[in-house]
Amino acid sequence: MWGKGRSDRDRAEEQQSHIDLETDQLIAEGVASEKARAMARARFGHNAHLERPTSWPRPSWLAIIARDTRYASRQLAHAPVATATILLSLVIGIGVNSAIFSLADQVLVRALPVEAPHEIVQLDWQGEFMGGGRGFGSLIPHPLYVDVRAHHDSLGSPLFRHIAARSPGRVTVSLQEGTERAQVELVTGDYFALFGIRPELGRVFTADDDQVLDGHAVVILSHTYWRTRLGADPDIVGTELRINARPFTIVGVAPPGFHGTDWSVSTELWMPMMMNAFVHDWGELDEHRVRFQHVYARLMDGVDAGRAQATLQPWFERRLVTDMEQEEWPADVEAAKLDQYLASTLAINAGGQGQAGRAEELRSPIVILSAATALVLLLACLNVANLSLAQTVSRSRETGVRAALGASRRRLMAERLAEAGLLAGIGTGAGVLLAPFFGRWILSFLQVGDVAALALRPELDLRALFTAGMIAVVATLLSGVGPAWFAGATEPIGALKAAGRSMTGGMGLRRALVVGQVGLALVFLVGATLFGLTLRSLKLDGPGFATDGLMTFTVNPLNDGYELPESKLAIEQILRGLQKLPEVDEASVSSFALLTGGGWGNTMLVESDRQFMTEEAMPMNAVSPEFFDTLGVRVVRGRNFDDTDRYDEEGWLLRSAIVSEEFVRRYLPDHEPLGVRIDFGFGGFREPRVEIVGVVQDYREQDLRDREPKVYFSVWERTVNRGVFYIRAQQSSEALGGRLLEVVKGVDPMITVSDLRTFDGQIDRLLVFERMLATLGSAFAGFALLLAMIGIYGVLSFAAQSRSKEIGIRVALGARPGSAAGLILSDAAKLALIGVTVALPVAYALGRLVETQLYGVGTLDPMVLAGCVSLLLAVCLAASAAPALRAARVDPQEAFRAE
Amino acid sequence: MTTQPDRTDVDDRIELLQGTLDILILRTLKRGAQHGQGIARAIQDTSGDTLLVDHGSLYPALQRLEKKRWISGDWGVSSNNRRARFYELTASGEKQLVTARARWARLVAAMDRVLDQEPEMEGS
Repeated sequence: MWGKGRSDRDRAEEQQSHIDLETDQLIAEGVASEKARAMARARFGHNAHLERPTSWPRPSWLAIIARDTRYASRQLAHAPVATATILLSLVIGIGVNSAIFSLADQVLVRALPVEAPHEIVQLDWQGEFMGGGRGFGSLIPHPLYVDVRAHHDSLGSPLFRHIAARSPGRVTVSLQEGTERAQVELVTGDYFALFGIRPELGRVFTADDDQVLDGHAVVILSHTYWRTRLGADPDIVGTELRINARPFTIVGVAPPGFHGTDWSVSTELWMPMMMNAFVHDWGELDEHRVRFQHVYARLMDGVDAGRAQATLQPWFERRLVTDMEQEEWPADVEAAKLDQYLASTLAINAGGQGQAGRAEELRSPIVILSAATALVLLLACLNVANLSLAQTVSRSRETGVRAALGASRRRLMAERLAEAGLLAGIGTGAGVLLAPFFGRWILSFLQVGDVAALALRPELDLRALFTAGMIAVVATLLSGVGPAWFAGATEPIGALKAAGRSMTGGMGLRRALVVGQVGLALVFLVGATLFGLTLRSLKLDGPGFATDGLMTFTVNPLNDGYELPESKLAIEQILRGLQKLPEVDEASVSSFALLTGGGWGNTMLVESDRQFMTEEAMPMNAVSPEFFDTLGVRVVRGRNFDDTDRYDEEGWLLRSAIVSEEFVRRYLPDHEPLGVRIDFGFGGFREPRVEIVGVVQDYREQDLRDREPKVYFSVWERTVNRGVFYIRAQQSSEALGGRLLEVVKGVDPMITVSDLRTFDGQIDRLLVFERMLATLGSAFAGFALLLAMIGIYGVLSFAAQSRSKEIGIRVALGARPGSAAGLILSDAAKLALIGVTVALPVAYALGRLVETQLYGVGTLDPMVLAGCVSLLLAVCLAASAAPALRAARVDPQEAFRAE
Repeated sequence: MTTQPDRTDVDDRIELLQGTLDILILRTLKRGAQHGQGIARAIQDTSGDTLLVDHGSLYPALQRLEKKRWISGDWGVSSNNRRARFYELTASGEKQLVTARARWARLVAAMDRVLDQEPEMEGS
């Protein structure tokens, strides 16, 4: 080491002391004190600044990085606005992206937490099923599952290692705290073996649990349910759990983390498929024309889905024919429909992701959001590139000077790299840190009521985080170093000369970037407006009846140990009790809940002057006579249901129906609707049994976009397994909710009440996705606008500055001083208009993609487009106001002197 | 840049030959411990202001000598109460001074012999 390890500082001190001593002496020698120090310095010579001697050791790489970082942070601190904007774009770009893509991964991609999910396939009936279904996704009728299994067993070389069926349900469980509803998955014996799930306690189901219909009162608990509801009792196996008022033996506890195959709901209990009819009041397992199961299989080694499908298809086609001999086969099937039926295939698809269930509807919003956030990241990168470029250009003079002084190109590059790296590091780090916050924020839109049951977690996917982070880092480094490369390559003299005149380097690229920013801002603006208007029109149109003061709750007496006839009695008793409450104006009951996104639907057979089948299944409901009055919708023709519309024997006897105005418009446009006879479409052509007695105003039955024709039956003409009550009061309140519960308790304390809520809450729940798209869309649009503003401001400020000489000459030659402002403004307008022109087709194309999500507004709505474009132009002009003003104030003399 | 005016004042001064500074420093320190500025002034003064020492260039020399352990330096307080780094001659420094002086004497003698000989050809 040189100088025995003396520090730079020590040496610097020594030299400082030298100059002090010399100064003292010079003063003592009579030199004026103000000159003395300068003279002392001069005498010290060129070494006055700690110059590195030739033998100075090369600084360590750590020291280089530290120095470059210090230098870089100084440079960044010099341009606080640009730095802050870059950081903000990176934080938002990365944070929102990793949050959304983590959600998207859960919704669209993630495999079930089971053994080798890629080996798992799911069966799907593609084509005409000629029957009804219950549930979501690829439904298979139970007899087909049984037959596939049997046929498969007869094959010489097996395709599947395991094959199993499952269907979801809700049951009522009696716990010490009282009764509550639980999510159950009905599964066949091979289910747990198929997914490779080994029990935490006790056992899982086997083929032995598949033997006797209604004969297996055994249950397996999810780990979570066991822990949260049953106190993680280690001796739980063998004890009893009362489910739907019947004792079940707990035979096992599933391992933690496994919540069934439908990730949109967390399964809490598993029961053997043989108990299906006990859980549901529908769906006998031997029905051929009703499907409600999902069938999974695990492929044998070396068998792929294509081969399995090809192997099964000939057998399936034969079975299609033999299936027509079943007694449930509908009479009088149209030829076209029969052809479709016979052309059906039994598809074998990848099944490792499980079911999306009712969260299937989440797909579109999530895909839209993913695309939008990818654009946000692109926007953020554009912004970073733009600002980095601006800084490079504005520093080109400094760079030129330093290059002239001998700074190597490598040196200059390293500094820019340090700067870009510092930005990327801080921005990405903050983005990563804030990503969970964004994740929770976005998820908070989805956590309303029913949807809260979605098994979505705000956890971040590391791959998403990594990908977004990497994109941002690479973009930042590229945009920082790319320009520096050219800057470094310029000849110092040229750079200095050019810098002296006008710094136009990189302007073309910068303008292009700004055009891109403006264009993206327009895309976001149009998107946000479309979704905002959709939400607004949905809310404004509402369900077609007043929702304030309306409350609802549901009872399922069958799950509380009731048989069908008593269930109907209990529900009627509750209704009469509700009607006696003084604060209740109207009370009624229906079989299906309104505005929950689903319900009861069927095609209808109509007999006017001819018999015909409706093309589409239409929403239907069974309601009590007070129902329409409770909602406040009018029966416009004929009569309402009354006390004559009831059948007090066991079973169904539908005689009267009320149809909606839309039904008349669509199916009986030139016919008197009253007296027309109708029946369900699934029974084929026959004598219809039900007479239309009235026509009711249109309103939304299933969701707020529902414009379908509707049919209503009298609830008292059917069996009543479930009662969905609607209560109209002066105001809905918690107190009223308590009074309603007391009424139910008064009838029978055993009856479990679920889904007690106000109707406004119900509508909020229904609009979850719309609200999410509108809110996030506006947030993104605001962000995009802000970035576009900053971009325009930056480019124009720069243009104003570099054209100050030109402006000075113009003013000197007699142009009005204000005319320069016009120059800048027209520049802004040009940039904005190019951006708009480029973006409009893009906005339109993207609008087409989301058309199904829209309501009450078209993709090409001229008002929307004009509004968005005007807003964008206004914002762009606002952003250019300051630079324009500065240009207007250019003093020709100043401008020349600055040269 | 700032040294310009100073230089013009002292046109007739002689810039030190490479390596001679070492001997001058050692010789100066023979009189007792001294700090850098004192050394620079001493060289200038004793040479009758003929030898120009760019004060700054003194330090690399001082550090070189210190590294060779011919001198040793330590912080102290100057006569007018300023903190300054004082250097003194070590034993090996004394020996080096003797050797260097002898060599210098030989060099001067040799130089004189060359410079003092009669010119063989003058003009053409």
